[in-house]
Amino acid sequence: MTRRAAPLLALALAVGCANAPVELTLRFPNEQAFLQSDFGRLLVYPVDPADGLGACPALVESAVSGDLGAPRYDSEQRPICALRDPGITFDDFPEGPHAFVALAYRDDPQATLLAGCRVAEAYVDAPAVEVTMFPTRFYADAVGGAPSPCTLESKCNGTCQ
Amino acid sequence: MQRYLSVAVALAAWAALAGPARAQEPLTRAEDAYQAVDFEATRDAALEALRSGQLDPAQLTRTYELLGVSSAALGELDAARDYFLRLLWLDPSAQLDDSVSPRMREPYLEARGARTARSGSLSVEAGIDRATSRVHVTLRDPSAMARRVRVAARLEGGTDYTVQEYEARAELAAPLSGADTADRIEYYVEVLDLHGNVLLAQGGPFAPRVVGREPTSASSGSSEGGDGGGSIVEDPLFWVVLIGAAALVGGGVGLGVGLDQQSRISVQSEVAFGF
Amino acid sequence: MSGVRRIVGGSARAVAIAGALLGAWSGCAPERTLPPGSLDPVVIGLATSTEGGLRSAGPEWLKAALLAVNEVNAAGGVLPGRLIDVVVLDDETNPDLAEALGMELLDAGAVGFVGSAASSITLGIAAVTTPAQIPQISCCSTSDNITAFNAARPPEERYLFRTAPTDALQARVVSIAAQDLACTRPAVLHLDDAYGMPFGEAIERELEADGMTVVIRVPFRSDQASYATEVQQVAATGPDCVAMVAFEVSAGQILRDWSSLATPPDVRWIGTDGVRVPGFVDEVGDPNLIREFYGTAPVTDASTPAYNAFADAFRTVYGTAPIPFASNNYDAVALLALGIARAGTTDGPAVRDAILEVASPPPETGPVTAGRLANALEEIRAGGDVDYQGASGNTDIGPDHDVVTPYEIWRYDPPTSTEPCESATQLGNDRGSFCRARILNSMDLQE
Repeated sequence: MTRRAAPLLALALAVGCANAPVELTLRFPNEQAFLQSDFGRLLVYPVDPADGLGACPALVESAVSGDLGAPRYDSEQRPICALRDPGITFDDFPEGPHAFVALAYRDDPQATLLAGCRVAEAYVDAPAVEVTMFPTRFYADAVGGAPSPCTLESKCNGTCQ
Repeated sequence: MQRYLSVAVALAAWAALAGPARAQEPLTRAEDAYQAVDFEATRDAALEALRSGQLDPAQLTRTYELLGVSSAALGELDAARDYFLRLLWLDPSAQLDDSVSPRMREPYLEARGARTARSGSLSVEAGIDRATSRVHVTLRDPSAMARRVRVAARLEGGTDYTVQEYEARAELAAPLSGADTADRIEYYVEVLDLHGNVLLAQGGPFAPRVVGREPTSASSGSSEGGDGGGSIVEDPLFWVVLIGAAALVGGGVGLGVGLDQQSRISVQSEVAFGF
Repeated sequence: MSGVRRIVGGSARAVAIAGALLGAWSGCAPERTLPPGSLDPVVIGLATSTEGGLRSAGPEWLKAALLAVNEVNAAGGVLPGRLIDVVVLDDETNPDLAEALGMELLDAGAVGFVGSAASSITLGIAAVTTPAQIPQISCCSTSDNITAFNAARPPEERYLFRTAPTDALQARVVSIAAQDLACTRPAVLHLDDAYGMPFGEAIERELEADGMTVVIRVPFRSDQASYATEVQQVAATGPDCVAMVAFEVSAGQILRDWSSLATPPDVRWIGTDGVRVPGFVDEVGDPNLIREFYGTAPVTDASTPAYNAFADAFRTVYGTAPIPFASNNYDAVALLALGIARAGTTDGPAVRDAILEVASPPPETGPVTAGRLANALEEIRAGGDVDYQGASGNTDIGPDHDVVTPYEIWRYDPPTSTEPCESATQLGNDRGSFCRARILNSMDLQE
C-alpha cells in the first residue's frame, strides 16, 4: 500500500506547491467612488507579529499625507481599472503578517480620494483579504458634487473621457 | 462473599440516598403551591427544601427556579436575581416558562446577563496521583457556590468506598491506600453547597467513574486510562514509515524544486462595491 | 486524564503520525504564523427600526452607524489587526422585542451595543446589557428615564450611555417656544411610553412654571389607526397651542384627525425632535396642514468641521444627506470603537471606563474629530489621550452618562412658503424644509 502510494505522494509534493492566489478585495463604498478615481496603488508592509498588528492607522494617515515609508511591495500608481482587471499580483508572497494599504487617487487635482488598510496573512487556503476603502478628507473638495459621466464599462475600456 | 458485601454497600448507599426522598416533600409542596399561584407558600417551601441539604442537582435546579419566580412575584427583585443567577450556574441553558410575566422575567434577564459576563462553569475532574497514592481532584467554581467536596474512591473491583470530605478548593488530594500500584480506581465526586445539597456530581455509588491505565494483562481494546499504553517509538512500523517518509520528502522536494519554483503564494487584487 | 478513549490502533497510529510529520516537513508553501484568533473580528450590535414609528428614520440611522464601522475598518480595525463585525438587530420600534433582542446580543457574543433609538426599547435592552457589563450607547433616546436608570446604580455599574441629551432640557425649550408663540392656554399630547410619558409631564411642569395654564394633558398609544378621541378631548378644552410628543406616524395621524374635526380650534402646534424627520411630512400627507408647525430639537447638524466631515463622508458613501440624529448614531459607534481601542481589550468595565476617558478627557487633551477616526486610532495606539469631538456636537459625557448640547426651535415651511429663513434643511422630493428659527445654548436653558 505504502509502496504504491509513493509516486503519487512525490507528484503531490511537486504540483501541490502551485497554490491558488489569495484574493485581495478592495471594497469601494460604491461604483461612483470608483468612477471618480483615476489611479490606484497597492502597498504591502511587513509587520511585527508581536507589536505591529496595530500599524494600520499610522500607515493610512501617513499614506494619505503622501509619506509612503518603506513598503516591501509597491504596485506604483496604476490606472484604477487595473486594480479590477486583470488585477495587481504580488508573486512569491512570504509568510507572516503584513499590512495591505490601498489608495485611490484623482489625477486633477492630485489628491488621495480613498484609502484603506488591513493587516492579514497570506497562506495556503487563506481567506480573501478585504480592504475597506474609505473616503479621505480630500474627497469632497476634489470631486465636488458632480457625478461621473462614466460607467464601469466605458471607464475601463477607455471610451469615457 | 464479595457479592454479599457489594449488596451491603449498595444498601448503605441507598440509605444515604434516601435523603433526597425526604427532601422531596417540601419540594413537592413548593410545586403544589406554585401550581396554585401561591407564591409566598412556594417560596417558603422551596427555601425549606433548600435548607434541608438533601437535594440532588436536578432538584436543586428546580428549587432555584421556583425561588426565583416566587421572589420576583413577591417583589423581592434582588433575591430573585440572585436565585436566577444560581439557577444559571447550575444550568446555563435554563429558560423560564413563556407563562412567566414580563415583570417577573426582569430579574431573570439581569441574571442571564450577569451570567454571560462571567466565563467558566462549575466543573470537577479527578485522576490518580500514583506518587502519593492519592486521588487528585481539580475543582473550578466561578459561581463561588461550592463549600465542600465529597470524594469517594476504591480500587477497581473493591467493595467499600473510602469517602472523604474537604473544604472546597481548586486542588485537593484524597489518600487512597493502594492507588500507587493499582491499575485503575473507581470513584465518584460530589460538590456540595452551603446546606449540603449536591451542586454537581461526577459518577455515583452505583455508577462510579473509572480512571487509570489498562490492566497489564489486557492485549488491546479501549481503555479509560490516561497514562497507559506503550511508546509509539517502540513500534517498528513507526520507524519504517518514518524513514520512508523522509526519503519521500527529500525526493519530492527535489522534484518539486526542479519542476516548479512556485514554493510561495501569490496575492491578487480585485474590486468590490458597496458597504 | 480520564474519559479519553484511544480509537487508533498501534499500526494505524504509526502511519498517521508519520504522515503528519511528512506534512509538517514538506515546507511546500506559506502557512499561518499567528495564533488562531489573533485577527478575529470584534462583534458589536447595531440597532435599527424597519417597522413602527421609527421605520423611516431607523435605516438612515443605521447607515450612519455603518459609516463609522467602515471608517474604523478602513483604518485596520478597532484593536490591532481586528476589524469590527456587526450584528444588526431590528427592534421594529416595538418595546416588546427588547428582551429577545438583548438575548440575541448576548448569544452573538457582542461586546458593545449601539441602540436603540426609542427610549423604552433602549431601557429594555439595557436591562440585559447592564448586568452583563456590555457598554450600550443610544443615539437618540432622550427620555429622563435613561438618567434615572443610571442614577439608580453606582458609577461602576453604569454601562448605558447616550449621545443625545435628556428630554428634561428639551421640555424647557418647548416652554420657551410656547412663550415665543405667545401661548397662554396650551394643551399637551404625548406618547404614553418611556419616551413620551416623562417628557409630556416635564413639558406640563415647565409650561406651568412659566405662567401658562395647561388646559389638558392627554397621553396616547403609538400606532393607533385613529386618534379622533384624543384630538376631540384636546379640542374640547379650547387651547391656543398644542405641544405634541410623538413620532412621525402617530403625529401624522393626529394632525389628519385634527383637520377632520368639524370646527378645529385655531392653535399653534409645537412638536419635538421625534417629528423633525422628512417622514413626518409624508405621514401628514398635505404639507399645508403643518404650515407654521413649530418644534424643538437638539442641534445635531451644526456646521462644525466634525459635522461637515461626517456629512461629506455620508453623502459620498450613500449619495444622500444625513437626517437629524444620524450624526448621533455615528458618534455612538465612534465612541464605542475608540473606547475599545483605548481599553485595548473588549472587557466591559475597561471599555466603559475608556469611553468616559475618550469622551471627557482631562483639559488640554488633543482633540480628534468625527471623520478622522484613523487619526484618533493612531493617537490611541501611540499611547496618547484623545478628546473625541463628535459630529453631533458636544460629546462630553458626565458621570451620569448624559451629554449637553445646544437646542433649536424649528419651523416647518411647505414648498410654497415665502417665509424668510437663514438656515433651512431641505427635505427633498418637494417636501419643503425645516427652518431653524432660534438656537438656545446651555446658558439660555439655565436662565
